[in-house]
Amino acid sequence: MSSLMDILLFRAGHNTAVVLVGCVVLGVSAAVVGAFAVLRKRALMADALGHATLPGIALGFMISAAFNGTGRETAALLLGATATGVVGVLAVQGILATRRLREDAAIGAVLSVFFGVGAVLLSRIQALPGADAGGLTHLILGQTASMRSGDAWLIAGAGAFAVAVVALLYKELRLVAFDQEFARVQGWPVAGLDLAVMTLVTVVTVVGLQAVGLILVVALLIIPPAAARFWTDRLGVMLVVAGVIGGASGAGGAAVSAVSRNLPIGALIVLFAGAIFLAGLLAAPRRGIVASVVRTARLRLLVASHHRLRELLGGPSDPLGAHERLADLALRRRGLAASTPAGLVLTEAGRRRALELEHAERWWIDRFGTTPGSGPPPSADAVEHILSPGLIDRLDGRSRGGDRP
Amino acid sequence: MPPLHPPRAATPDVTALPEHSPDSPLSVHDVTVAYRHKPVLWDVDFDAPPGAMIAIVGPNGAGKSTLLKAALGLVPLASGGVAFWGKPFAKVRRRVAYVPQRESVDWEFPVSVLDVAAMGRYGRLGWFRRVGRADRDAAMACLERVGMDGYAGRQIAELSGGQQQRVFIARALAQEADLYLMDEPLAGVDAATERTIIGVLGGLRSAGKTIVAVHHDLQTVPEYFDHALLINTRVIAAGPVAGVFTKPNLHATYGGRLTLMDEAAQELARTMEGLR
Amino acid sequence: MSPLLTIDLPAVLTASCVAATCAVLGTFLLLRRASLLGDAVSHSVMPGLVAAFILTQSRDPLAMFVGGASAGLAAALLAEVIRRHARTDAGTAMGVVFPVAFAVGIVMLRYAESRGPVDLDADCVLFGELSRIIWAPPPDAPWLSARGLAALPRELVVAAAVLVVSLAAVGLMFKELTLASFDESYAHAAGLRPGWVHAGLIALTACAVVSAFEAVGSILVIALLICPPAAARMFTDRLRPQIAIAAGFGVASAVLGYILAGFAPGAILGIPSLSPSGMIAACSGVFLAGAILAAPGHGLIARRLRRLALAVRIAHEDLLATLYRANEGGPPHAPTPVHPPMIRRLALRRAGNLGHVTTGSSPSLTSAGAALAGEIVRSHRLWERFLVDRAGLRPDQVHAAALDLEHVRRGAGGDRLVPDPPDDLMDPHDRPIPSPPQNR
Repeated sequence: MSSLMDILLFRAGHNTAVVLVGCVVLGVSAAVVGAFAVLRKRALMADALGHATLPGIALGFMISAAFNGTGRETAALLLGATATGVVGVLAVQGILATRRLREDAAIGAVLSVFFGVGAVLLSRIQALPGADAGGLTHLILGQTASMRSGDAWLIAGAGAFAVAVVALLYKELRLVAFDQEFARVQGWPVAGLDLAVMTLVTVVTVVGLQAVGLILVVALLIIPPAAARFWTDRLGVMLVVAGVIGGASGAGGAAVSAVSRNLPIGALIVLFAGAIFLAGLLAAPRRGIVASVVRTARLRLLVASHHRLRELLGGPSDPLGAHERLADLALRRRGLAASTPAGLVLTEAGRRRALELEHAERWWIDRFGTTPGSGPPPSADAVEHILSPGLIDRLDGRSRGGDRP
Repeated sequence: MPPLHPPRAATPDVTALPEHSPDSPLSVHDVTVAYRHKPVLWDVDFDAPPGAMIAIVGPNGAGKSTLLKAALGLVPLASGGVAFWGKPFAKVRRRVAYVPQRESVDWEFPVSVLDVAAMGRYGRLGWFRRVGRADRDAAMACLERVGMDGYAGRQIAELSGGQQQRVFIARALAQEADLYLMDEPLAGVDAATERTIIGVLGGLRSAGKTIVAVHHDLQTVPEYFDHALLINTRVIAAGPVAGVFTKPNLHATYGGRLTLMDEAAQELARTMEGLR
Repeated sequence: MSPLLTIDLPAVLTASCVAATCAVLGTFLLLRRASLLGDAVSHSVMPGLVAAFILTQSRDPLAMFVGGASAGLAAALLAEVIRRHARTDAGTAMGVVFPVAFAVGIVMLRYAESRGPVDLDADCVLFGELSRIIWAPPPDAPWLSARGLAALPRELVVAAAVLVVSLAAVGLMFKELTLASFDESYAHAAGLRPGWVHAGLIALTACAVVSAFEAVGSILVIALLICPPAAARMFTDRLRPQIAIAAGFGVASAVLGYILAGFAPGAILGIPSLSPSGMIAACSGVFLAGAILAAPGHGLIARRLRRLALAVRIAHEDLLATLYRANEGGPPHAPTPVHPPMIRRLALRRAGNLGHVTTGSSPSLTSAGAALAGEIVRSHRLWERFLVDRAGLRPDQVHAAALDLEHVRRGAGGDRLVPDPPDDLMDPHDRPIPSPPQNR
């Protein structure tokens, strides 16, 4: 058995290398196409589409079996998948036309009912004399590493096509994703561009079935762009980050699957993407949960020390709650306050800063009232800065001398 | 120049602080609320006088609705505290009625007008108890007070915007509370509804109830309300309308953001002259 | 032993219980616009089930419920955390969570398989196995004796228990569920803890999904959670009837689907029976499609017909008014209303049936038709007067507008436009305004 490194460096034989290339291209192209679906809030349409391919796969199998007996013609399966997938998307639109049922219900109803019809057809196929339906299961749950090289080439070709179309239409797609009303007024064919995105989604979904199966294929479209959102606000950067995440997930899934042949590629790719998403959710610099917790704590400490400085200006007093206790600790550490038998009192430096704070506050209100065009309420950073010039720095001890005016 | 906080002696109990009276139906103490990067409310300190109609006024994004939601515990406080009659909200829930913004609910929901009004009794009923005849009668009486008794059996999707707002007011009335917190009760309603609602609120005030309402229309504040709280992330001024609605205060609230606001402020100043 | 009692009855009963439970819970999910939460929960129940299976090495119902429900709740919670922090819509958040949970489930299942043969395979999870549900009392025990009932299949007992618990919970908490779904912030202010109510709903849904997965599989259960409530939504604007109709659709899908899959193929087509779970899902979809098309009031056909009826009424009134003006003489008045030929024909037939015009190649007004036409022209000319006098339009601008407005003759329209019109009032084009009908 080859090691992970060998596989990733294409030293584990032709077939493994082809599968790796196929999965990477699939990951990249699904991420790039999916980014626009996510931005247009159409992400779960891909889920309805994916599940709706099952009856088409079964029909394709039955038709090709009627002609040559085995029913394993990839082309027939994928054509059938495309046909019922598109019908599924149209059914979602039809349900939305009632205006009484919302998108969530429409998507859920279509994906489950089409899947049910597919199950009925599959049960018919399994009872057909001489038909080998084993090849169909992998289209539901995804394959193991035994993907055929022909399938991998198909995935690579279709994926490259999808990426090329996005590159060509980048400007237009970005405009529609950002502001479709404006795009419409400007005379861009919004419906046509939406159709182009849905077509690419269909292409990627259908060829992706081969590797990850129809239940999980939606994950390739949604997770990488959603993960990329944590790290950037710019669409171009987001596409690149999403593509990298998708490609890395594809490579990881293909490699691990090649090592342990029992695990399905699709599930592994999804797990890699999910892990990358989780990392962003926790640790992204501005949007991550950790950053958000730290920001809230900092804000609380700032407000509390601000209060304590003002309170202590009036004489020694006891802290009110946990945050103010923490603030007292910070003030003592910075030499702004000192413990005495009577309680906590301000040091000379602390007194100066408290007065400075009051001054800054008056100044802030004056300024707020008289500056024309001051715009929306200032950001936390701006308020911190305006409220107490240098206070944060001093609390941090960065300019401990306290010799500012 | 608005007054700054006087230095104060801290005690462990927020509600017993000297600047907050236990008689006040709503005491907001040094409340700071932040959404992500932006503080929406910064150090807001305010006491609602009992038996008054108080307008919360400020520009878009000034934190008006957030102040109500923070008071009710619907958004987390970054710091500070809130008390109702000197007690925490959980202890006096039944005495506080909330009227959310009309847009916050799905008006296609399959309930009737009477069902919505009867929801005002749910807090009083508590868990598991069903809505009884007495509750339905009380809800019906409240619909009558806002002129919606003729619509009791209608599905709520059939109502106009003003009628929806009246149903929301009826639901709050059904709660028989002492303090009414209303988020834009007069936004986007027709003139007849506005008169009805103001009449109902006036009746509540005569009965000694307190009303705190987010209000967007500067012109009608002096006519409808007797107290005002001007906020723009921070409290700019609070007190009787005549004292608060000065040109500098309004200017401070709305900033130089819109020259239109300058004109509005001037017009208001003239109105106030006329009222005095 | 009758195969009907042994095989078919327990399967149909189990499927019906599951369908009824899902319909009741799904109604609240639908109203919260959280139908996809049912989707997410059913996908994410899988790793919980597999974990419970690996730990206990059996299909012990209690372990399965604990595993499935906690996995479902965890997934819903995670989706909520993502929605808040990742600044995405709820759909994307769920689109991230449930495939990952499902992938975890698959990998765990493969792991369990690699350690030895397991009594739980992917096919069963996906499609369910109604055929496993068998009621086989000992040969000497009657069906309804204690020993006969003790042999009832575990799946049926569990599904019935979940149904009873769900109905009891919804019955007890009806007002809490309604308020929490309708107005979350008010529910919170009233002290009814909408967050906990919502969590309870999700936990019940997860239990329903666990009880359903053996019968219909984890994906087809989504059909039972969404389709019957959605179909019921097309029929009513009241919550209690909606729940009842949804349960009816659910049970009907279960029974009809089972019959169509089990008996119809052999009896009609002469082929082996088909997947009952798939057929149940397909039936629920057919019911939904039927409801969307044919429901009175909100259905697409009813809406089309209403629009058609309105168009015919307007064309009918336009026809009468045109004939009235032709009788008056004077210069022709442009523009004249235009209607599609089919609508014109229907309008002409309606006018003939109501006795407003004489039938024949060139229709003319009867006396009843002339009276109605007078009203319409009166409305038209009063609107013209109003638009000129009150709205400040020029006389040459108002005819086209009045052509639309003349059909509004109640409420603000008609006689309230011009207070106390004198009998000899003329319209802005100096045509007489017909007097109001006398016999009112």
